Amino acid sequence: MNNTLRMVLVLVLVCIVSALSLSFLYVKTQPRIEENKILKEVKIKQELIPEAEKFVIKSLGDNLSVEQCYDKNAKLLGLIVNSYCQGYAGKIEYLVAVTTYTPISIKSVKILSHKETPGLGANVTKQKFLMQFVGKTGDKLWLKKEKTNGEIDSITGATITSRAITNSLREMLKNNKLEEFIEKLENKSVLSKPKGEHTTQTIQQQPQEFYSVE
Amino acid sequence: MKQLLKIFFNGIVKENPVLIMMIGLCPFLACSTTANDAIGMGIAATFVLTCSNVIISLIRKIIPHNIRIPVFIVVIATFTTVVDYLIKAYFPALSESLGVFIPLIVVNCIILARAEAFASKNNVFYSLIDGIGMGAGFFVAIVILGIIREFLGSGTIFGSKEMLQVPAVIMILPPGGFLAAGVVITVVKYIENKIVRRTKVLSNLPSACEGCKLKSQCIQEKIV
Repeated sequence: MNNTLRMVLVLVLVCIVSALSLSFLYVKTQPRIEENKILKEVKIKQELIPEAEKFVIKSLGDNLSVEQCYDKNAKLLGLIVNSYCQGYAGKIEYLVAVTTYTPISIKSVKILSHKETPGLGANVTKQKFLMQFVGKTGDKLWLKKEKTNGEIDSITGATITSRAITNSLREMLKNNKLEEFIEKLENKSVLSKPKGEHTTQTIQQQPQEFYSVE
Repeated sequence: MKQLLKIFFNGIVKENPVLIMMIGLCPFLACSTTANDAIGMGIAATFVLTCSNVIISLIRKIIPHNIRIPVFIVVIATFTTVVDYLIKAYFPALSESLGVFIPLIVVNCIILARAEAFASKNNVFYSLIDGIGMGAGFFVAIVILGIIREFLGSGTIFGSKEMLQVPAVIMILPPGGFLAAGVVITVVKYIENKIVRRTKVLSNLPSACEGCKLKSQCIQEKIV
């Protein structure tokens, strides 16, 4: 009995100490982890559309959201579509800069996060693959080996990943909601100012407050 | 001092966890597709191994024998989560490539094996040295495999520009991992056997050989 009690006590004690130290560390590191995530997203967005300083997010259905990017003087610089697809080993999140007129074509693509195999599927983040999408419209987004008018070379050893991204981008460009959204933008003539007042701060200072939802 | 060096090099050479003792093969194969990933995994596993060795050695006297394994696992899992959080917070770039593999450290049996075989029987300082030595052994092994697989599979070394015209993609895939690991282990075993044989022969020399001029020649030609 005494022995059993001792075993229970030691195990409970070890678990409590472990749980306490882990929760302490979680509280300490979590803000930094979140911040890293936002900084990374902002950095990628600025790579897609340099000089963009303000982003107005609008959600278009469950896996699609569009961000209008404005520079300091509230001039519309471009659109960034945020979406994801199912890759080989999990969700692949990506950001795409698209044209602000129809027919929509891709200006550039960046991968936000993925869980693909290192050395194979993880090569989707390489420029060599992503550069292929630049300037393409929806009907050309097929893998070369799957359709004659396709213009995308898949990554060696990672056909599933390449196909997932290509298909997802194609469907995104053909999405009715996205088309409607962009047509509306065109009809608004020269977009002078985004609705509502947005403060212009530098992103590095306060990333969180930089987003406003339309 | 001599004792410390012995413990340290024991982990790298004589009892190298992967190449000689054949434990921890799962992360050895899974994280060696590129040399950079291998380095990250090697460092992370060494850190967890060293920390868990120290803690387990500290509490070894209060752990009842029957529940030692659950306690070891809790300690190891705690340090793995610590590494996970720290890497995510302070090395976001590394966490992108390693993120999937960090939780794998929990089930890395090198760590449990050292906790059971060494840390629970030796003092804190020796356990610390053993952790670093074993970690270094794992690090060396996984980086060697990482370099081989990355060079043959993608034609690069540490992410440099491509050097092979047509890389053999299979070397990055799981089968290539087994092939490369098999070759590396074969080479190590071959060398080990040679050394073991030599020492065995030297210690089993017939007494008549003492003082014989042809002694070294006999050993070289494996006559004895």
